Amino acid sequence: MGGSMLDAFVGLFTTTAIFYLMFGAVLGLVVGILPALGGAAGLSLMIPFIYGMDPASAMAMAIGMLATVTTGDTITSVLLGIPGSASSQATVLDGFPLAKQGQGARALSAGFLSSLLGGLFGAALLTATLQVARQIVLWFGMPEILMMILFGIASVAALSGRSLAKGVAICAFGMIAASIGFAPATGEERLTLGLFYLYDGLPLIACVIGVFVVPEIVDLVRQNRTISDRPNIGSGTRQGLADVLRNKWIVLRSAGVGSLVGAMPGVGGAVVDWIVYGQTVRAAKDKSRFGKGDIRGVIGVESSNNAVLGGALVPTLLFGVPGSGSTALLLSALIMLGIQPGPAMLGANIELTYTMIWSLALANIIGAGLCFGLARHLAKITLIPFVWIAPFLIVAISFATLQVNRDPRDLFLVLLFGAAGVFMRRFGFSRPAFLIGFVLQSNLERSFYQTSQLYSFWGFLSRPIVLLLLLVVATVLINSLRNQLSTRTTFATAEMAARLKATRPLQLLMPLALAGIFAAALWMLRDLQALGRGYPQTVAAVGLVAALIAAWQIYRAQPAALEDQEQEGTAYPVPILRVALWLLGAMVLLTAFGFFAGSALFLTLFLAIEARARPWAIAAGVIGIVGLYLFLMYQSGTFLPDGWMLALNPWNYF
Amino acid sequence: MTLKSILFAGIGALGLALPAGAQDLGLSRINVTVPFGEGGGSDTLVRAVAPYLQQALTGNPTILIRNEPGGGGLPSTNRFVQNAARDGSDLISLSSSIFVASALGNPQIQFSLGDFTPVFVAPVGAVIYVSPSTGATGPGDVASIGDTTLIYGGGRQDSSDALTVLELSLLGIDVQSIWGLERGGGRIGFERGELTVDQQTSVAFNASVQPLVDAGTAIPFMTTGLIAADGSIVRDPVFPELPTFFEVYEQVHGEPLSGPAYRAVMALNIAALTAGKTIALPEGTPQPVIDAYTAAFDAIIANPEFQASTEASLGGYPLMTGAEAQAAFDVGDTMDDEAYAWLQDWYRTNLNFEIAR
Repeated sequence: MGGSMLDAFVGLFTTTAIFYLMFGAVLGLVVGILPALGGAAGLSLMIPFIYGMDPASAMAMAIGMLATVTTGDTITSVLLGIPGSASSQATVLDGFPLAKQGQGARALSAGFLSSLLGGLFGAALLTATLQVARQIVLWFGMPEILMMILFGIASVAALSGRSLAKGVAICAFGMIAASIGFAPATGEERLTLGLFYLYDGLPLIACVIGVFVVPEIVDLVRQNRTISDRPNIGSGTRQGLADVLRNKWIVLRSAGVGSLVGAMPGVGGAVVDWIVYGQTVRAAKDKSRFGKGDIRGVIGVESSNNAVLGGALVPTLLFGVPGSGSTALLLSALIMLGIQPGPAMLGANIELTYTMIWSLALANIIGAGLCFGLARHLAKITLIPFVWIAPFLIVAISFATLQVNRDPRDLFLVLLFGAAGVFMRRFGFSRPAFLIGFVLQSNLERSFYQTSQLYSFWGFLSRPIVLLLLLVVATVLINSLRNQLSTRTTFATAEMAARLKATRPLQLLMPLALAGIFAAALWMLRDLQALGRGYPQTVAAVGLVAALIAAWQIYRAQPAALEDQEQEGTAYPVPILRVALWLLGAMVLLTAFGFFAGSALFLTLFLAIEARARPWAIAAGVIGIVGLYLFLMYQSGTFLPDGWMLALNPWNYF
Repeated sequence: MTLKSILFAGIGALGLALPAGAQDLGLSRINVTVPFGEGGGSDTLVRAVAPYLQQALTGNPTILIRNEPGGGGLPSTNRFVQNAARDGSDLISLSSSIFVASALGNPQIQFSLGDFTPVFVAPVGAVIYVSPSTGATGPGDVASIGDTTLIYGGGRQDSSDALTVLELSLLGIDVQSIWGLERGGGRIGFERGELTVDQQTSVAFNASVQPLVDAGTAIPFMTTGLIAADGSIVRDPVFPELPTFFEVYEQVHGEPLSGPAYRAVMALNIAALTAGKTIALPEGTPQPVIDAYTAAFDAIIANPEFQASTEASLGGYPLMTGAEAQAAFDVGDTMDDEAYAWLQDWYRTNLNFEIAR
């Protein structure tokens, strides 16, 4: 065994595999930095190359790419406040405030070192447990998976913000949104409003972009300034490294949770960052700085999301069961190369397995190394007026959306969820709680339904791992609830109280709209089979009660329930309607003229009107970003949908 | 050296090994629509074939693979039938899920199998295996299972997974089916002992289930059998020692399966397995173009390089082109009303699921 491990290492360095690894690592950083583009998108761009490569080089490239996406995405999350990929959304929470305070370099270097350590932890754990990992995965049957999902759901309590009722209501909304499509138990069509477009359910990436990215863009464009409020950026790199070393325990714990959740197929690796963030907050003594720029938030999340891949490789390689979108594509790539994952990965193909583990470790080192070198320079981006950055971000998120389903209608879904996200952000409805509900809903429903069919209640309770996890979930819930209840919220000043009370009618809109949605869902579900409707009905009923409680609390002007970010003194010189029209205009242009012509038109208009840019600057911008995507698409032979009025795709053109 | 030049160098090297006599279509570009995302089964097939197809056609036309995911592949297939050029420049890669949706009936489908002319069909075989805890002692041992209820886990009721439940229930075996499992979920559930019966394609079976068979924790039970071009059922060539479902049925009931149930099983079998991976031209393509593609694919299949490189992914099944492919296609074209009504009733009573067309 040690021999093949060494052979794999030597093999990696004595063949061209090492170059593919580096190429993959660099591509991964680019994909990570491009907003909302993650490992799955990167791998689908890479698959056309992979066919016909030798397995070691192909896997070195693929793993190299997947490993560094979660390092590169830190940059976007910290500096622009927009998740670089779905797995670093929670990095935004504390990383972005740090960047606003001129500490971008510190947050970045802490993030990179945590990423590196997390990635190495994942690789080391994988090596250490490789021979027993199969057995460990087999210990986690359907009841244990169910408990792991509940562990994820329990973190909603810690992420709800000041009002638990609001958190529960918005989490239930996420679940109802995710239960659109086919009911897993009965195969019935559910809540689709009769639209075929909704049969497959809502695409995750459109919801993530809508809820997490659009509101930030809107907010920053309205403020019309630079991201950092300080003209100078201190170095801070060394301080960031020291921060990580001071919080070794957080790194270790977060990386451990990341690997474990990653290793369980069907738990939801996509929300690991939020689970770990919730845990970091819960475990901290002084919680006052979280969300306002606490470096521990960045460290925890970044250690976990790089550790996920090490765990996720276990079910993918040893069972051929992928736990996420990106590992599903990795599995396809392996099959394309003529390798069937399964027990042979520990036997005949053990050298390839070790090549992948080495690639994982090396790519993390390469990725973090490159990023360290760049951190200081990249941080300067926070000194550029946001109006120059916004249009490029809008093009980037449109690309990320279109890349998944190649369906222009998804762009309008982004706008719809964007509008909801703007309200959630402004009125204190926890967006992480929404996302956890959205992502975990289908896994929770399936796993609940399967477990209840196969296990009796006592059979369920007599499983030791279930009991252990039950204890963990109960502790988490009790702790968070006690925290919630013991914190007395009061208004900061009498003037603040008056201002918050004044916008109550506006604040009431959201809970009342949610209550309406839940009631409508209950009504639409009534004709389905019991197994198809039972679960979403329960969720909608809980959501309805929570939304009504939240509405009542707002009506009674309870301090914990009142929240309106627009009353906190930030100046908004640009009216929201103007920003909304720009976003709508961008999506209409992209739909009408296709991605490339549409985004060129949009960029030109926006830069000319909003940024009053000179023609040469506009031309440079358009050629730069459209050229980058054109290059990516052309090289990988990927298509984007044609426009309604004009078909312009690189393949049709050249 | 860019990736692309490496790729092209590879394609060039492969080209040297191909026999002469390329087919002339007078095209410089061929679009292959894949109604799914990158990395799926039908995408893999096309990417495996593309470099060889390029060499088999005069002028080595560029082959563009156009992935159009979403809606289970149906919207993209609808668009293809409507818009595809009939001069040989448009091909589509069809998969079992589209065929099954077409066989079961789906209001979103605006095509019938008659709208396609298959030029290349790669059949897939599947093995149904059971746990020793069911009482079974060997292949086809229905008697020892007796009244034991088998537990099966599948993806969706209107997918090829239903065929496994259908076959088991026709053998008179009690099956409890659990739905909503993810890709590979049935196999991992079987290994955990939560499920007691599962079905895998032969490729996945050899990689992941054979070790269980060797360890004595899984028993290969039967294959679904392949349907030859003349409509007869043959044993799976990869597992010649395993009986087909039809053989086991005859052994249990004393007579072969017949009537509407037979026709329904046949239609689903062809949709899910025999024609499961197909590359097709739109209907209405001129015969010379079809003939040129048939000759091109014949040359590809005969190429030992191609055979070696795809053995692992295609499982080593006999590949079909031209008239043979068309014949296999025709057997499964549409289920007659009686067979469909029988299947509808089976779905309702066994899976509590409504199908309609």
